[in-house]
Amino acid sequence: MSVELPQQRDGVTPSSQDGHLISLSQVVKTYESAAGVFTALRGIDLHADEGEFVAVVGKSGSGKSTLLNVLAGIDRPTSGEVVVGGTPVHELSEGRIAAWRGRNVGVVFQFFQLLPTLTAVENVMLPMDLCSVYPARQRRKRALEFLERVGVVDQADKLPAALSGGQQQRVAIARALANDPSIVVADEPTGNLDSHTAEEVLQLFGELAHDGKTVVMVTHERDIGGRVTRTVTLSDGEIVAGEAGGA
Amino acid sequence: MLRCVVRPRWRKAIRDLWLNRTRTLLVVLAVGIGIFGFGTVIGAYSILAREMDVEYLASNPPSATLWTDPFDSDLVDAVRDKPSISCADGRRTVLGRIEVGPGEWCNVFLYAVDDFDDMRIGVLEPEAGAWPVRDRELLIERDALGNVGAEIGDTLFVKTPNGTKRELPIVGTVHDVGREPAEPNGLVYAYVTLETLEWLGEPPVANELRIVVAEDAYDEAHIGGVVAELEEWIEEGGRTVYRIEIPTPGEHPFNDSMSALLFVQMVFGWLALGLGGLLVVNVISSLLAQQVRQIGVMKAVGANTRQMLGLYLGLVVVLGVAALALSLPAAVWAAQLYAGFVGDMLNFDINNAAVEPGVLALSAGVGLMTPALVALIPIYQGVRVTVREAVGDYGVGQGGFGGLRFERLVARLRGVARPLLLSIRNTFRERGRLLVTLSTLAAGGGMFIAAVSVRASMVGAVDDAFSYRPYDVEVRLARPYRAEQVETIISDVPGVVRVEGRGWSRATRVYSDGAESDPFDLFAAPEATDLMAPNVIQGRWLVPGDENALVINHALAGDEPDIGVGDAVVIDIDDRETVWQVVGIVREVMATPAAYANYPYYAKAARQVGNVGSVMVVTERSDAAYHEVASAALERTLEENELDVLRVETMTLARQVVVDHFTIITSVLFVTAILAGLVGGMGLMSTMSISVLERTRELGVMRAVGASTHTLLSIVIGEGIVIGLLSTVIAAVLAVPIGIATSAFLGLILMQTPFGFVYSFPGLGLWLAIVVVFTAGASFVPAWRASRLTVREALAYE
Repeated sequence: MSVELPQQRDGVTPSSQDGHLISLSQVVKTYESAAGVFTALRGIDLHADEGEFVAVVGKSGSGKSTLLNVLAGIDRPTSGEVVVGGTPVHELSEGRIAAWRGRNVGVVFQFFQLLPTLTAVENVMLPMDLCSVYPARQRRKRALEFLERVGVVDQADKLPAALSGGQQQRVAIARALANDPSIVVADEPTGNLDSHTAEEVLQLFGELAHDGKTVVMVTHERDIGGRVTRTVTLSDGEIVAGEAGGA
Repeated sequence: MLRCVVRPRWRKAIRDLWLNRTRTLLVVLAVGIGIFGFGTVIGAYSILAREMDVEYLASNPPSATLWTDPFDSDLVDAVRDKPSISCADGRRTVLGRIEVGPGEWCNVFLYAVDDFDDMRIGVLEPEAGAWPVRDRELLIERDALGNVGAEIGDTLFVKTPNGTKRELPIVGTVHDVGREPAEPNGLVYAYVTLETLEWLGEPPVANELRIVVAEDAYDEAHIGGVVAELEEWIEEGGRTVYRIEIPTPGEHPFNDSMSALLFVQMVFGWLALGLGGLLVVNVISSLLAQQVRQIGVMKAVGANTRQMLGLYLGLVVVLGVAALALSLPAAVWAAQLYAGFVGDMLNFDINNAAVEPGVLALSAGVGLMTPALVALIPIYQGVRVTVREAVGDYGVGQGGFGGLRFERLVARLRGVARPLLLSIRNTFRERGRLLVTLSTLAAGGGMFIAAVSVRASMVGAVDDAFSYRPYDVEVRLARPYRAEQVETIISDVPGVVRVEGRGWSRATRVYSDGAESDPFDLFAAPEATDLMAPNVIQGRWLVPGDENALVINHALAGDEPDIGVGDAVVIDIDDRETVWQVVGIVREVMATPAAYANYPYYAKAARQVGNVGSVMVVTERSDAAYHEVASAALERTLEENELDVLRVETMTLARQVVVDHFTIITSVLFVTAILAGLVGGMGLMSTMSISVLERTRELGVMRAVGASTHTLLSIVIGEGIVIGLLSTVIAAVLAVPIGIATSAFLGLILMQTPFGFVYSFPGLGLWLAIVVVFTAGASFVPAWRASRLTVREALAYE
């Protein structure tokens, strides 16, 4: 599972002003619901650099997923700044966030979220199609390369329903890599996998970090310490353990 | 290779369409039915509007007709020589009787001209058999052939008002364009030579001068001027002009009622399109509801709102094109079929059934634009969800129930079986969708009930109108006879229980300048007769002791608009002028201009004391079959006693003629209403399948806690029936304004007065039955599908 990454794109990983690829400062996120105001994040400061593999851990409801969503531009902070690769994500409009995310952030979900009516390879081609980063003729070839990279190239033309959970998650990771983003975020990517498959997926993420991607992963896995470069522990919306990042 | 050309997101869209075949088909059908309804209506409109006039104008219709003292061909030639007139024809019309079965007679209009080959105006088109007609032969209008119950080659007896009865062969048929259709009116049009007329005992001379003006043939004012000059010229020559008729130039005589009919249809056509549009909103929103998570995923991997908007709008356009491909040819076919049907009813040929390209383009444009436009809002809302909202794990219990006061009210419902309670509460979960489904179903139902009610209103109006003639048979005599003689003869006919003779004259109104109006019928019944129950709309009806009191009907009031209740008018009866006081105006159904007076005074004024011109007969029974037998017996008896008859009319037949006349219109309403109901039903079907799809997981939970298949089925079907019942309540109310407006509109056109609105409860009941069956059926399929899922499948369902 250690094939070289397909060709790199130029100029996708500019550093932010303070030298970090990812820089969150004083990020607060509150939700309003019928039950009252709920604060998910309480002034988070977090930095991450190129090639880091960061695990975000904490109990259910501690704000892990919210942190990941804010970082990936899936959710907007109520206050504070989110600067990724020099881009102030919190200032972008919804439309520009989508375009930015498509090129710079790969997202992996717990439930894989492959489009059920597209084959594996088509699912991987989809981000390229949406962001028009590669010439149309090259997309399938690239997608197949990514599938090979994650070890499911033989499943390329199957629909998700025909794949096992582990295979689906590999395809999802290949899809996250499709536009060669500098950052990959993953929300409990192993939560729905057996321990053996989970192990393989974690290893895959490790390799990605090793190849220079920044991986931020929310997880419930124990004994994660050995695999990641850093563990950040959240509790009630605050970082209670682990460094905020190489300040 | 397809794979290289089609982008993954489009491939996804296409596969989604294929995977959700049922729903795709529903959308295509929904849009298609809208286009079909709309296209049929405007297609038929374009064909009829064009063809009606084409054939009519080709026959060279008269600019005007003048009724004068008899004239010969010298006068016609002189008129033809006038520079202001391009052509002229003379003819004579005699209303006779024709034997259509043993002892069974019916009215025949005998049109007599000198030379059929020299006819220049209102030219007849030979259809079958011989042409032109020779002496002592008959040509019959093609539409009247059914009414005489004979074929070319058969020989029939014809009686003329002077009492002559002769046998003539039918030698052929012709098409008399622009003539009122004979078939539904129970009339017969026949064409004979003037010589034949003489043989039948009638004067062999023309008295009807028909002309076409040389210039500005479509300018009514110009025609009026030419005719005024001509009238003066004719009168200078010593002949009196009795009556002038100038039809609306260049327009088929039925253009007005046809336009009205097509207008009503057009309104319903637009409604059908609107309903189709609503359905599209529903189906597209649900399609998006199901796609929300996928939209979120696509956005997470980089899709922007514009791309998603393009994708789903593209999807709608594809569906629109598919709907168009199915429905437009069907609409053209139906438009041609319908135009042919109407042409047949109104006795004109559709020579070119092509639907204009502009009309096709309009249907196509509307068919494509409407769904795209109406879908824009749900699409925009759907694709605007954020990634977080979209991929968030919903689990069970979404749908925002309990927010509104009404919902809390529903939530407090007690004492109802739990599954039914679920059905009722579920109904209100997706308020937007419920609203759209309810509107489609209710609008469809409203149109249906309204259409049935309009028909009931029409029949009610006709019955109403006939109730003022509470007798069974009316005999119109060719000339006045002694009352005692006639009444004695008729009383002896088997089945006759009562006879009432009335005075009858053709009268004219004399204006202050000495000019006379068109002739109208003046009837005089015995004082305080109970065989006349008029519908008085102004003033009062006649009372015993009234002397020169006159009641006019609305048709005469329409012709002589300056006459009001209380006015004195001078009436000419057989060249004797008398002064009458108008005391009231009555309304009659499809009546010709007429006036009513008390017999004693009339008889003196008209010098007809002891004479009657018409006889009202009451028979033992009042059904159509009995009427037919009785009228044949009457006619036979009168003939045996050498009493000449103009016509014998039974009330059932007269009523049937009117009802048939209206049937074409109600049938159109029905077809449109059924289309509307169909669209509504499909809306419900899609709503139900969507709501079940969305709640699959919830149904799984219910399964897990022990719900039986029967319970699941009854919950879902119950929900459908709740929606159906709710919509029926709305439809029942909605039908009132639609029905009143349509009845009023059609009444004004057909009877010059709004139909009194009759709400059709049988129609409501019928719709209720349709809705319950339909809703149960529409929700059964999704319910059954849901009930077959295992708990594990249902819980894993996305």
